[in-house]
Amino acid sequence: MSLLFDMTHSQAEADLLIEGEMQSRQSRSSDLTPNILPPQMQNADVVLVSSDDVHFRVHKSILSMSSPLFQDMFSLPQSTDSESIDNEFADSEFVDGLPAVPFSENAEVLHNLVTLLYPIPSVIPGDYDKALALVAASHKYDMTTVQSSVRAEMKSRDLRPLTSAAIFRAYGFASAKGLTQEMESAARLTLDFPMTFESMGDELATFGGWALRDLARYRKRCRDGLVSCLESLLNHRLPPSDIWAGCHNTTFATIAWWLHTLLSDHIRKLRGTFTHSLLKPSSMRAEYLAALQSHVNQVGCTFCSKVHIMHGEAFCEEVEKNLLKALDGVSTATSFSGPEEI
Amino acid sequence: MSRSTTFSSEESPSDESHVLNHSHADIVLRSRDLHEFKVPKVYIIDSSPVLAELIRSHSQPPNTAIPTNSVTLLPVVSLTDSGAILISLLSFIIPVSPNLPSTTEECLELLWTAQKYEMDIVLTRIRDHVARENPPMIREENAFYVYSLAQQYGLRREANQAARLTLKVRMSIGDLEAAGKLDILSGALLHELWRYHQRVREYLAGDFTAFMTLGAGARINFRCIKLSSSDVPTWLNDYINSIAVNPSLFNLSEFHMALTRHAVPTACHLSRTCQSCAVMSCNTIDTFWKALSDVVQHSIENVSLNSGCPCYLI
Repeated sequence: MSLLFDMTHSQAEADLLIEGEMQSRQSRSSDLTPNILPPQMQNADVVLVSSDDVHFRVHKSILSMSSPLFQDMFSLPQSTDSESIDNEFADSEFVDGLPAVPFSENAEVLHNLVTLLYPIPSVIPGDYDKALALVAASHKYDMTTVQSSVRAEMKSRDLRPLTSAAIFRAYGFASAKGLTQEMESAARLTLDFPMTFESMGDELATFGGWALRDLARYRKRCRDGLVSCLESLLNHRLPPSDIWAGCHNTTFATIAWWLHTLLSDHIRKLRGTFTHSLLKPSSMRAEYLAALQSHVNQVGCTFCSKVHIMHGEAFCEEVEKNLLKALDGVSTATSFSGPEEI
Repeated sequence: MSRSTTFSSEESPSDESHVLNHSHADIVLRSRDLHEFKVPKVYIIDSSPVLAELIRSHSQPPNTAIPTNSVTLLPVVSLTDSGAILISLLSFIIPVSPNLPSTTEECLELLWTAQKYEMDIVLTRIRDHVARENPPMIREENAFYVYSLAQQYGLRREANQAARLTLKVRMSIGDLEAAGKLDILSGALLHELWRYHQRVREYLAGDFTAFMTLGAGARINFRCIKLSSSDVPTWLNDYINSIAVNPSLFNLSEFHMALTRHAVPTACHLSRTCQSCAVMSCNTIDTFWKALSDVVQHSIENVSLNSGCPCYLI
């Protein structure tokens, strides 16, 4: 296998705003693009041309095996001067006597894609945005095996967007590209952050179609699910909260007042607006402990102390489990209408 | 094959037939829905360099086969616009009674069509007629919708007019969702609108600072029991600052609410009653409100949507 330098650099013109945005972010976050050595396969019979005009000499057969889209494309009668599967490829030309297929992806994405097609060391980026762009490319070209490989690798590396901006950006990008799995994961992650213009910032510009409306609907459903769960926890007759009925410092027939207050405060906040960051199930344990400690310190409640020692851990686990279940139970199918143009 | 043309326009039948079948017609414009308009091409050529070029290209070279109407043998120029839009457009080109479409969507499409054909004078004429509409084409209740459509059509002026009216609505995701506005706007258009609101707020903040220290704000009531460092009643200072954060609070109701909260005693704060503000005269309030309105107007007029917004979807 030989690696040849065959690169010309020109300003890529992204076909979509979102793609351009994503790619410009990638080029900002990495200096790799100008130094990519495109794999040049021996006896190649087609040239893939990236949006930034890097040429990848590959085999039609390999592309055909990885993607029914390319299989169909190459099974069509060959035109005399170009390959084309749709308008996107309509402007294709010949490069060094080989048919050239222009791609809207940049060289880095295309390079990563090619490494996943051949028995050579595969390159899956460690950066979430870049990995997501690779998933999007494999999705676009119907390369299911490649897509599964990239997703599996992302999962094994626990690759996920970390900041508020990165999460909203990932949601917008995944939504625009029809990556349902990534869109739903990102939507879930956005719940930990406020859904405001300020927190979404410029990432909002990448939200195509009804992505914003769908995200708001999803968030409201999650909010409603949490409220419903918290309301059920207020019921002193039903587990897991029934253990807290009997606190001597609680004058009315209900669960211990400190726990009642904790849960009620969350219900009130959640009902107030859905745009604040939603309650994190994992944060309830710490809040429970703080409220209990304050209660015991104030009134020396032996009942609550005993209940906590006997059942506190199991109660916290149950609360967290119920809250997670409430979020998991939100049907994303009814929240997300999928990619569409306005 | 051309269709017989019936339109729900308000123009008189004689005007319509004049547009559709002008006695001095020397060209046929055919709509995408196959309505034909026989018109003198001089009007079209004078109005639009784009159509002039199109007509010229249909006329050259002279001896090649040019599509013609089978009955009149006039050259036919096929356009991508609907018959309803074309008849309205022609009513602003040919000397007949101008005919604005009945819906906002069609009016915007008409404006876009005139803009597409670079009909500058016609565009001005249409906008003049639109401006005289009662009720106005762009209103508070349809501002977000018109903004969205105007952005998609690339109609900067209408998009700006609509964007100004959206200032009357609190710009938060929660409020917009509750009002169903997220069903109207894509993220990209909403982002552009949010940036516009941001710039207006920044401008307002700057203008209010000058207004409170030098303008009518500084002279409204020195006898208030609680004055800010610049000798302006604190409640007024707070109210004006709140407009800079949320321009939708700029209305007389909010102003009077703020005044009432300050001047009328409550059960909790009986001692904080401000008699001076409570008896402020209507004249004082009117004068102040007019001055404040001028400042707000000035700020809003100085801000417009970004010209580089990549929102032209059509």
